[in-house]
Amino acid sequence: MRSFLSHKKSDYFICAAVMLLLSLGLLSSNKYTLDILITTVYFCTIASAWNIMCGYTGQLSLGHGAFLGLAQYTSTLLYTKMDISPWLGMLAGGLTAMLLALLVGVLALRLKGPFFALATIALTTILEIFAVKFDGITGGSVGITIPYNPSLGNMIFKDYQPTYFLFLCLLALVLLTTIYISRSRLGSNLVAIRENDLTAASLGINVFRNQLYALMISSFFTGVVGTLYAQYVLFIDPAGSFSVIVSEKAALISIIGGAGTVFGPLIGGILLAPTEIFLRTWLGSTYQGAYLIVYGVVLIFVILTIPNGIAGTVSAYIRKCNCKTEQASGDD
Amino acid sequence: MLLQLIVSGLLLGGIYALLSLGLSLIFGVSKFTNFAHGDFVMVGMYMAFVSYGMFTLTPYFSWPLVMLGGVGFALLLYLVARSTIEKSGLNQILVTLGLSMVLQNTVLLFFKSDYKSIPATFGSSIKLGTVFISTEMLIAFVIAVVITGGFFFFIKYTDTGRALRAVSDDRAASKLMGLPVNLLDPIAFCLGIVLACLAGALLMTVYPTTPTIGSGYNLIAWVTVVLGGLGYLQGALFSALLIGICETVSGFYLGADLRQAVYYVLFILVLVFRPQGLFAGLGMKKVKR
Amino acid sequence: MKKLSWFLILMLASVTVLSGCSSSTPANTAKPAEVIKIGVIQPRSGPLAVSGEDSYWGTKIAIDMVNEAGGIKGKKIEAVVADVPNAGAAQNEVNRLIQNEKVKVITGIYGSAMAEVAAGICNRNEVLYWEHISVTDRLTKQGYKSVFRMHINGSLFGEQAAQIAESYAKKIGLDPTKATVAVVSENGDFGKSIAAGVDAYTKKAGTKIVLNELYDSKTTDTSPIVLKLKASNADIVIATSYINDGIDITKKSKVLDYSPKIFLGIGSGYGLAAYGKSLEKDAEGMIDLDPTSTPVLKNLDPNMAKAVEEFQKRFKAARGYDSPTVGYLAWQATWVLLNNVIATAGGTDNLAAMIKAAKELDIKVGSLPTGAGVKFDESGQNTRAVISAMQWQKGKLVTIYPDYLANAQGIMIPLPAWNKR
Repeated sequence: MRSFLSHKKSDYFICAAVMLLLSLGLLSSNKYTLDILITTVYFCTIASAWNIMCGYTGQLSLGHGAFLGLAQYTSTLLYTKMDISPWLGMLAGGLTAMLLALLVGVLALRLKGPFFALATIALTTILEIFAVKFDGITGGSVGITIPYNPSLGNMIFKDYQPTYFLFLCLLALVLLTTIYISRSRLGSNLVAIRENDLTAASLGINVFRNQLYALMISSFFTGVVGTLYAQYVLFIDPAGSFSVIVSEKAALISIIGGAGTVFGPLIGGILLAPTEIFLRTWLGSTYQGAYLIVYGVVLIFVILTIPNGIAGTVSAYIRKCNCKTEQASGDD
Repeated sequence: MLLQLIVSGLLLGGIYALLSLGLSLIFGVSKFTNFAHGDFVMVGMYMAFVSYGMFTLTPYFSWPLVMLGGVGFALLLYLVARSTIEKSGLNQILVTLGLSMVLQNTVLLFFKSDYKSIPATFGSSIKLGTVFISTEMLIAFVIAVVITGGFFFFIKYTDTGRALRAVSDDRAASKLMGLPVNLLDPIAFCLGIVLACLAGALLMTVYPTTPTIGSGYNLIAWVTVVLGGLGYLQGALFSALLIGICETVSGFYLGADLRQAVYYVLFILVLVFRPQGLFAGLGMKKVKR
Repeated sequence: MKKLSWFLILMLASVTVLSGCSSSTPANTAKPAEVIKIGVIQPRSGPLAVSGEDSYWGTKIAIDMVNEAGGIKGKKIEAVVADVPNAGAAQNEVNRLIQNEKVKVITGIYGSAMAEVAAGICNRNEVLYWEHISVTDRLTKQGYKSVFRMHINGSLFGEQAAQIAESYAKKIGLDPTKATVAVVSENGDFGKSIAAGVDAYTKKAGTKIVLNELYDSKTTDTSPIVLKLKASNADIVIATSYINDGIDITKKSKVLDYSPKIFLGIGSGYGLAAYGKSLEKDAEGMIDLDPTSTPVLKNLDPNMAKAVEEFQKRFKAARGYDSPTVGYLAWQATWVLLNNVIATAGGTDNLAAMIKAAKELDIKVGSLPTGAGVKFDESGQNTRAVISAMQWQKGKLVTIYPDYLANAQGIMIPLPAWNKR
């Protein structure tokens, strides 16, 4: 079994420590600093949600953008056209994302490896095309600007701290869910499926149903964070919402941080999201595209050298140390 | 009208065939998932552009240079990705996504972002009854057919080709039989990437290029490979032609903005309901022998 | 376990310090009076980088030229440049420019999604946002106080395009109410905004639209679109395209032997150097509607003419080709911003003064290189932005309409069949 099942206490501790540190950002009033933190937490949350499905089951989804975009459009349209508060819209968005996940799951979950990935990419692109095509409902490629009416009910705030607080709460919720799942029967079933689905099936685990649950939980949180982000940027358009790039980032962050561990996506997000922003600020104004070369090289390097991700590698190392000390002291 | 659409689609499909054959070969032989395939098409386009800029060679004459460059890039890909072969497909996808990012932006850094094109050599068309055929596209199509034919000949009648087929059929058994799998991997990579670069050079005779153009071709290549059935090289060929026709016909009858949606829906349906590919069981054997 | 958490804490601390650094250093240097900082945002990487970079150079050259002439009231202009390839980056970089770099004016940007986000943030933070390229109508329809657009908006663009079509139809003896029009547009925000404008105007004018087709500009093969045009048998075609699809539509028109009486292209698809280069003699006679990129220097004020000439020289030196329309748009917008708004307001510190200076601008049509003038309406939209008709003649773009901008006579109207060109 992987490390997370044997390190439950450490999960709590590390997550709490990181959350506490992140919440120090609430003391800042600099919008740029807060934006970096919000973007970081945003990606941590998407990656953590992605992790629930993909980290624990080993299925590679590059289509979480589909859930994200669908939820963003649901909540934004409810808000701008029917004046329904984004708080409800957020829930509605999450639920529609879940419905889509149900459909995707029923159709595509039996696909393996690159084919599940390709099917999810195709799905994202199809949704983008439809969002452009049916412009009577969606506003088409021009997108929707959410009017700036700051109030708690509208989930729009003058300052960035409340938004950041909401993002932190959501991240905490996703992490708690992840911890809960990893301790639950669902979690151990999922890991068993990831390690060997045939063995798992022969032990009486319903492979399909377990994966479907994970996908639906994962898509729900992806949808909710999507709504939150839409209410932050106050603008959505098909190209940005149904973006394969966001899905790719979620996957990369999760895997570099350590997929299938509770805090792996957290580490990945904290490392990668600010790195990308700083590289863009640093190199973007002088050499066109240079920051993406650096980013790409770093990604390749990390994936080739530590394929289990940072969290996986570090906890493997720690386990090794612990084993040694345990052996030395003769303790069990 | 329909005839015209089918002819235009076939010509387009001929070039798509080159992309998907390369991808199919690499996936078949090395079980390697290359998500940067389209970017090698882009690289091929830029190599053709550079050859034109430096030596005023049109792609009809610069193809040896493009092939040479293609081998270089194939070895680069192989070096980067070697350690992920026979390992998790996840890491292969992620490595090639990273590589795609690097390739696109390196080209951006050196060539800037503007569209590069080379003037048409012929720029005329042939009229056959009611059907018009672009000379450029026809020549590209013929070249694509010749290359595809040569490729199939190589795969079928040479020792290396047989070895590649054997590895594609059963990698583990081939190893046990003493086939130099470690040598065949780079050969498959070279063949596949060279085909992609050649497709790029041919596309350059018809379309301008820009650093991000590869992503579209990448998806088309994957769609055709899946539709054709994995590892079925002939299937890839037929489905490339089919995708070409599907693009023009649906573009006309359904609306040009739904074109992509049509073949993606087809793609998902095939993945879900007929994962063995459209043509499997129609008397076609895996990598025909 | 402890080691791991320390590792995490260290990592996080370094991130916090890093972001703290970048926020604290510029604050110390940002003393007033030394330089005037202007935020410049453009997509310099990613899929929009083509025109983003051309626009960036337009702005940069304008700033350089003003600085070399002594700056504004003795103060040099400092461009704080940010790469903004998508809406998320716009949110981040605009906040950085405002919060950390303390800029009071931001100018940009090619790409309407980023323009929407940037304009919203600027307006909330009381920073002047000076848009020079994006055309979506909505940008200036949201009651923003400090957002100005120098460029034309989509509906006006479409309306003027339809008017040009109308006048050419009359020229060749077509009755505008009987002539048939086909509109094909790429389905992005640019094409859609303009298609809506054309549609609105033709409805008013009573012209019949027989085909209104949207297509995906990433289409590799445009023959279905050309065949649809052919089947519609329209007298006049108005096509909004990006470059790849624009070139391909022309190529496929020739292959399929299709030539309508009048073909009006809109946007970069028909005006970029790449169009002429890859089509060569087939580009001859094709018309592109856009603000002109071939200004007639002798019609301009002598000072302006000299400045434009200098710009043309520098742009060519920097980019290797003549400035396309977006370069001129960015250059002239920045030029007006610096010389007419910031100079009048005496710097960037007083937003109200800048808004007042902008609102009071009254520059005659034809004063700027693209033929535009400046007069903002209440919403901040320039009402004197104009488009012109340019035509490819002997491998070069010349302006043929309107008369006060024209530097050549229109040829091949109506378009002859391909074998007679």
